[in-house]
Amino acid sequence: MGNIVSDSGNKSVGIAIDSVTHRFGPGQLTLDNVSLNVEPGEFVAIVGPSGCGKTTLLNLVAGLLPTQEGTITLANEQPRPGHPLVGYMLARDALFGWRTVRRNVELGAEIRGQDEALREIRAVELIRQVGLAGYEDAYPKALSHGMRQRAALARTFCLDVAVLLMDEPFGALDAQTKLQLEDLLLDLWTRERRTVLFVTHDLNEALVLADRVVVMGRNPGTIRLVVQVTLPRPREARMLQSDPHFHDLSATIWRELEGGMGPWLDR
Amino acid sequence: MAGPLTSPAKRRIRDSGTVAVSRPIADTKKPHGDESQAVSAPKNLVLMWVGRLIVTVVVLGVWQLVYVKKVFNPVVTGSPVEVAKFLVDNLVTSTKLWGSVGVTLWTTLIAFVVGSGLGIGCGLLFARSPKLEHFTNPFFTGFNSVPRIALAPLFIVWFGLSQVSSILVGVSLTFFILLSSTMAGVASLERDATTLLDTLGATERQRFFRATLPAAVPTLFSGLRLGLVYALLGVVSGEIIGAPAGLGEKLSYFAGSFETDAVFGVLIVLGVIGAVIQGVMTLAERKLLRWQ
Ligand SMILES: Nc1ncnc2c1ncn2[C@@H]1O[C@H](COP(=O)(O)OP(=O)(O)OP(=O)(O)O)[C@@H](O)[C@H]1O
Ligand SMILES: [Mg+2]
Repeated sequence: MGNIVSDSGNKSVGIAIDSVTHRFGPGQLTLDNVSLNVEPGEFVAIVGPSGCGKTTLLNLVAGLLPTQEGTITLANEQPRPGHPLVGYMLARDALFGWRTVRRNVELGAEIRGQDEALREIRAVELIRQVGLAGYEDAYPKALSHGMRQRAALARTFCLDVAVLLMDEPFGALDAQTKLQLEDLLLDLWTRERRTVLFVTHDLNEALVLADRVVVMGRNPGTIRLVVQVTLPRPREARMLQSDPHFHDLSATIWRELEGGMGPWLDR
Repeated sequence: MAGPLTSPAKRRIRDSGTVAVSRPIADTKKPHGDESQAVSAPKNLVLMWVGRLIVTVVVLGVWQLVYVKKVFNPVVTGSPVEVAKFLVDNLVTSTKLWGSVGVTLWTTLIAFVVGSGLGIGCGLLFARSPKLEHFTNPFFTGFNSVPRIALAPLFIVWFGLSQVSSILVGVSLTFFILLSSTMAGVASLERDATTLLDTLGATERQRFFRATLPAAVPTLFSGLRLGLVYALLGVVSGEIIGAPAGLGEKLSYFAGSFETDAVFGVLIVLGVIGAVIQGVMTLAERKLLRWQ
């Protein structure tokens, strides 16, 4: 259904991050020589401890921060804010309180000047897909935390972009809602494959969602390990929680991290 | 300054208990406490009003008694019966006071529109250009520190005994209220919203009309409500100090000729005007800010 009103499946766009170094001030090395290639249509998750520069890396790809050293290429272009092929989902929903759910979901598409009739059809369809049918005309104050995040997810997908940057979109949710939304994201992603760069604190979340998991360390922020996730698709977050293979994978990564480079998550 | 003046209005909304708010579907799960309140609210409300009525009757009764028994000089105390008589004589059986009401209302409206227009305009300008705000800040702070009523004699020297002086006093009060509430309102847009708009590549225009302005409306509205109250305050003060017409002018005339009943009558009229103004603003606010 989604594909009827979307053509982003054809705009396959990868992300090439090459030797990127970033400093917020003299002597404050936040990212040190980070290189990462995300294939078109690939789902890559970045995990790492707080302050290792995950958000900074995402902001660089989004063009919200200027690239200081190294290069980032996205659809043969340098990053720039508002790139029509790129969507960004923040940790907090940033829903506009004065807009109904439907008008919030349409916001991005509206700002980018997409056709009004088309974006409305798409918004209503997405609201249904994220399980908010019946709440189209409700205001955000009437939504629970999880429902708000669903609306934000629908808003992100309504953009009809090729590249999605997501910064801990489910970080502040309870475990149950988190699993639900992970399934939802997988579902949406399977319908309309986009290139996804997904930041999370949660290694299990990363393994459930991603084709590849990038593990970062801090001081300075570097890539410590890249893991190919071999779990078959379609996956289901709630099923995987009880899958022994999944836990093996998780344990292996922990072991590798601890053996290879000492404690990486000091929290 | 905003606190004590806005709270009575808020309290009034709460008092009326079950304000009919069209609840979105999502709100079906009410917390338990809400329900029990809804049941007992009408009973409490009746008791509350009965209590208020009793207090009013007692106060008026004591007042009338003081007048009849001549406890103090009757000319000074006046009496509720005489005040009622004045109001009927001047508002119902004749229209003597209506002219003054009209003058004060018009003057207030002009002061409000001009003052809030300038205030909002300057606020938006400053929000766009922080440098300009920074540069002019000491001037505005200085001007804002002067008790504005004290400017009335100066205005009278400049513009003579006309409504212009009253308007200017009103404007000088309303302006600063709207200036600060506009700036606070514009600043109330959350950082997340700004980041979202950045990532979407929103233009300045889109930012302003789709985010900054709607986010500012609630703050702006409390500014407008307060601004209107202060426009009335400024205008009446201006009229008391020197104006050819208006309720303030009547007030100072009646007080000067020891017509205490008339003074109380005009005060009541002013009170009613103030209450009506607040009521209208509350209604408009509720209509415009349903999303809150
Ligand atoms: N605008 C900024 N100015 C100065 N320093 C910054 C800025 N943004 C981030 N930093 C610093 O850069 C480092 C990385 O921050 P970043 O937000 O990228 O971390 P993160 O991995 O996203 O952390 P978290 O998991 O807590 O979100 C931190 O040490 C932070 O203090
Ligand atoms: Mg972060």
